[in-house]
Amino acid sequence: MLVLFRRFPTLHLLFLQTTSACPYTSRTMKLLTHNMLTSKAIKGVQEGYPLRVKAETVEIRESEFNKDFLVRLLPKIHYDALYAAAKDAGHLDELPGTLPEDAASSEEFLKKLHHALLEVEVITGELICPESGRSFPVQNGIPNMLLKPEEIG
Amino acid sequence: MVKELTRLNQLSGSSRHRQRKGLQRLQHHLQTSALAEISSLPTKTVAIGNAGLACGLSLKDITSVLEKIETVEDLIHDADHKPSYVVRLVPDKPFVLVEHCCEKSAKYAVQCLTGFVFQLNNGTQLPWYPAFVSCSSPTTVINPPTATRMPPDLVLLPDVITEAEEDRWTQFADDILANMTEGPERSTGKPASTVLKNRTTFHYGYHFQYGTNDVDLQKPIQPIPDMFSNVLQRFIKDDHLSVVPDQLTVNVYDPGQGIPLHVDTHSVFEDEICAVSLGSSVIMDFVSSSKHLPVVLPPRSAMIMSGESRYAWKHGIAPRTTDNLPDGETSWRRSRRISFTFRKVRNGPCRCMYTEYCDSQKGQVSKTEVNATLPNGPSTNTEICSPDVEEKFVHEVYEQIAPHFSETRHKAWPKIASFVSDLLPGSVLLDIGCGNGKYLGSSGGKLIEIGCDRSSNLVGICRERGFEVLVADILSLPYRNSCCDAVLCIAVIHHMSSEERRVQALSEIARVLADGGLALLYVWSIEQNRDQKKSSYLKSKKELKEPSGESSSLIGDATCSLPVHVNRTAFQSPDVLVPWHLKSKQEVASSSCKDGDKVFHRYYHVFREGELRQCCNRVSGVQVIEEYYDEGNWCVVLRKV
Repeated sequence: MLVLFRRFPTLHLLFLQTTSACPYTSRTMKLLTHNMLTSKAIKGVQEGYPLRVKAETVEIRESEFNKDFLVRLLPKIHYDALYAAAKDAGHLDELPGTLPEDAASSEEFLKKLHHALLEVEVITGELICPESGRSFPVQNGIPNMLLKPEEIG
Repeated sequence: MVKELTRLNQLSGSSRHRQRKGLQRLQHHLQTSALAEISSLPTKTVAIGNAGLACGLSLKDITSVLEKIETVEDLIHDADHKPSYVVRLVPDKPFVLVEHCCEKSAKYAVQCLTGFVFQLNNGTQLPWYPAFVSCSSPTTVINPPTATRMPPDLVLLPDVITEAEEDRWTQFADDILANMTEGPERSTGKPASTVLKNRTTFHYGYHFQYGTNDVDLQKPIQPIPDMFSNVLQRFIKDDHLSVVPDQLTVNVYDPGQGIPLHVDTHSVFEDEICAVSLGSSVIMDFVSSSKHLPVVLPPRSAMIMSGESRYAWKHGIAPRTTDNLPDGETSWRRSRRISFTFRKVRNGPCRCMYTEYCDSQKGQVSKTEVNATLPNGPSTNTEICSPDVEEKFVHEVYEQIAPHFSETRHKAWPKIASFVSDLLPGSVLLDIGCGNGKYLGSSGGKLIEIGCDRSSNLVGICRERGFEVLVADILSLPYRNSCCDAVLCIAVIHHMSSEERRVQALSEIARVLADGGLALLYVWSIEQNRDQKKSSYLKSKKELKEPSGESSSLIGDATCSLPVHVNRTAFQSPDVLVPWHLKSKQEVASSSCKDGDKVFHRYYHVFREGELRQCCNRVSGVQVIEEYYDEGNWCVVLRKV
């Protein structure tokens, strides 16, 4: 299918209008997204990272495992933040507490990583700034990260 | 400082002689100016020789000295009597007149300032010579002049309240303040009150809710007390008001307090709003378009806002302790001010002609009204810098047109699609201002794609289509530094209403990019006709209903006025409002355009050639590696270095 996309760059349009699923897109907030979010725009907040996850509804949505993809993603992930989020979401699912030394070569670990990053999805809940306690709602899988002008430093 | 002043007060013989000479010169200058003459008895007004504009002093210099005296004066005054003064500088004269609130303050000032030497920045020493004076024309000196230019339809009635009434009303407010409790207290007969950050308020008739800026019509509270009815009847009889108000808000402002710029919600109150001022004079700022008119509200005056001043001008009071008139000559220190705002609660929606500001007619402007609303003369090239413009003409509009907008956005632009397909597999791509998600999912799973948009309705549409999205503002992105390999920012930066904000948006993009990461930026170009080739925007004239050519209409906002662009024509101005004709689904299908279309206006800053690159050059840590023109857009590829 990728070959098709490359040869016909607009093919995905037909595809998108009929169905909504590519292996790595879905309709809820993945922990991968959480891994990139910070609340440091708030006045007085230094790091604002990682945001605490208060999950009301969590879904597990299986997706295709792609080893190469995860190996390339690995250096971009803050592992401690992912671990904390998976724990907060109640889906540690055997994720080790620290990043193994052989992370990039251990398929067993990469599968767990894949699960935590891309399959554990928060549908409703809150993201909470670790410094100020400011809560950002997550509804229908959409975090609302807007701040009021007076909140911004 | 004051100690030092008092020490200098013990003058030696020779300095006493200098003092006499100084006062003689002061006397001479006062006589030639015919403003005042030296009095042998204490008065409230003090003239200070060697302390005027002609000596190179500014108002700030003088108040900086007087402020220090005033702070001590608090001690010698009765607790309920805050000292205050009005400074009047006279052009080309080497003296200043300071009118104090009482002789006691004036005496203290003369005592402190005798022998005081002011040092200019250049080292020049200026010994000050203070003396009591009696003014030949006291009214012109004592009262700050009321502004000569006022917003249209604003009426200021000086001295409509007698001093006896002022005392009674002040007493009334003091009594309430003395035993105030927060919130509505209908049972105990106390008024509903709110202690706000910057002032204290209480309400009669209806409780004004500051959270929603609304009143609950179903829950009237204690009516306006009878003691105000005489004055209100008088206003009606004299034709200052046409209806009897039924809501009263009392605001108590201590020195240093104020009220943010605002327009009283159209749908909540009728046209006429009457505010009676007691206590201190204060400057109320009126702001509309790029105009700013300070209006002095003297004590015992009433200000009646109606029409344009009520609906289309924001008004507010800056939180500060001294007011300076823009003439640079008059300044006074605020004391406590109490305002009584009388309003008539509205039943039903507002139907004013100032639709841009009207919450009942929000964001929608019928064609006939566009011309009627706009008052403000030709557009200027001054920088539009107002978050309000973005709120009203970008954020709110996208929220409302989101479904229709999404229906019109499906064709991916080839150059953008190829930027995305050239990214390495496994790259993290942020689409900032993703709209309906036109470019999300285009990699077919090869990339991590996360979209964000300011419009929650557009983000909702993306979600329906199965994309990973969130609601965020480009000016403060919620992503950590260096977290992504690439950024798409298509048709977003042209919605920022000042260059500073455009650069801020670019800085945020630069911040979230990892080293070596790429960003593709598209903004609308003012040039739609390039290399003898019209852009597709100009070519697709099928929707054109208006005659082509320059639009002469302007739509005003609280801080600017903007020309309305005629769709599918060349841009005449870099800052424009572009109409969006909202159609229902059936109309879209038949491509018809009825006169009944709702028209929304989106704010755009359209870019000149090179302007986007120049903005990027102001951001550190990024490099413009490519710049091109694509169908009426200026486009830049940035690399984080």
